[in-house]
Amino acid sequence: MDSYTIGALCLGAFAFIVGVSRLVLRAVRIAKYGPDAGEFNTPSQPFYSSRRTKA
Amino acid sequence: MPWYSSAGRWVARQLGKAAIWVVFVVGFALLPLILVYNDKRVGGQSVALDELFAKGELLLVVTAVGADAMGRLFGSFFASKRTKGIDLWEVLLFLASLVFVIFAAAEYSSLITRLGLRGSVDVVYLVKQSRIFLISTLLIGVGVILTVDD
Repeated sequence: MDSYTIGALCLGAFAFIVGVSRLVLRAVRIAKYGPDAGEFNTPSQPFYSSRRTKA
Repeated sequence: MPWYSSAGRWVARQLGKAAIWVVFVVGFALLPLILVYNDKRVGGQSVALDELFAKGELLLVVTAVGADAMGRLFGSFFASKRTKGIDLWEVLLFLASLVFVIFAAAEYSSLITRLGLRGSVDVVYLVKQSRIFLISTLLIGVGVILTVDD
């Protein structure tokens, strides 16, 4: 295999590993904090709803 | 409710989305090639799979699948309630998809130009390259599907 092929495969494998690891991390988050654990980089849903209620 | 129930359900939903993506995006993108292969076999020709991809057909599939992955990342970003900006990993996945979309499109246009000018084309290299691109794009697509939230 030439380096071009290996590079392409590595890039694909990297993206796959990123996807699977984020899936696992998110599942752990949901298991710890419940189904409203929210997505990465955002506050969880109850935070938003409580803010909305206060306003 | 057991602690793993909601997490397990979420993982199952994501895996289901990946399965639906494989069937509807990848399967239907490959359908024309499958039909051509079937048609030739019905006509009594023995067709090597490599012959089917000799004119860069797989590169078109790679472009479509990679563009679909990019579109999902875009859609997920604009549909979400993000407050802290762009996620680094999603940017990396987007760039990985972009690399394959650009490479596949450039290789296909180069191939078509060469075929039009009756220039030399290394079919073995082309077919091998298309396969590698397809495998890598499928890996990226599954990674994107598992990452994004609808």
